[in-house]
Amino acid sequence: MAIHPRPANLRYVDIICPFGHEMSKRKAYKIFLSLEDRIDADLEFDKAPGRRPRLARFAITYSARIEGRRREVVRYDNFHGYLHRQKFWRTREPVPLSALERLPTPDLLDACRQDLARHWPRYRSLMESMLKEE
Amino acid sequence: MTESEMRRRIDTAFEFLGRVADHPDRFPDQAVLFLMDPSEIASALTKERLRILRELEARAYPSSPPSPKA
Repeated sequence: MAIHPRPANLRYVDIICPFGHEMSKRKAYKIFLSLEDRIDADLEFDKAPGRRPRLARFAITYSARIEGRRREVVRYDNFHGYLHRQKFWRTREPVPLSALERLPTPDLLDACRQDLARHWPRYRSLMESMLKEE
Repeated sequence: MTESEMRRRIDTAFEFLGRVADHPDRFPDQAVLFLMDPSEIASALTKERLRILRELEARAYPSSPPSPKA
């Protein structure tokens, strides 16, 4: 097990899988950004014989604890064959992100990172407003 | 926490996911990660959360090391 120091005391841990372990197709991570904010990541890999596994599909959900309950705020997802975003303060209906559709999967992940890093305060604030109106 | 600190943590989370995408065989199938200061983690680990972590640890995931034979 190796611990990689990150700036500002941020750390994450790499766990080297034991010898002989066969990687499964799906991976799921809960990443706590704070006591209130969390990213859930579901990743699915293609495993062609003789080739390195390739990230094929993903769902990234940002959720926040608001009014004492954890609420999904926004999700980026290509599990249904096309990249889409769900803004949960509006509706659970997926909105396609067609302009990004042709990007390779790692670039899609980066586009999601940029969108979330730029807009998370507004997304969270809109979810808080929606809950107050209910 | 400031907005810039939160952005930095989002970047770090996606950096981790990028590493998993590059070398999926090196990472566990399921994990809980805390991108928080030690003091924040300490306050997060309430009894209930400790119970959940113990429950997660008790499950046999494919990436878990084999348990020692008696």
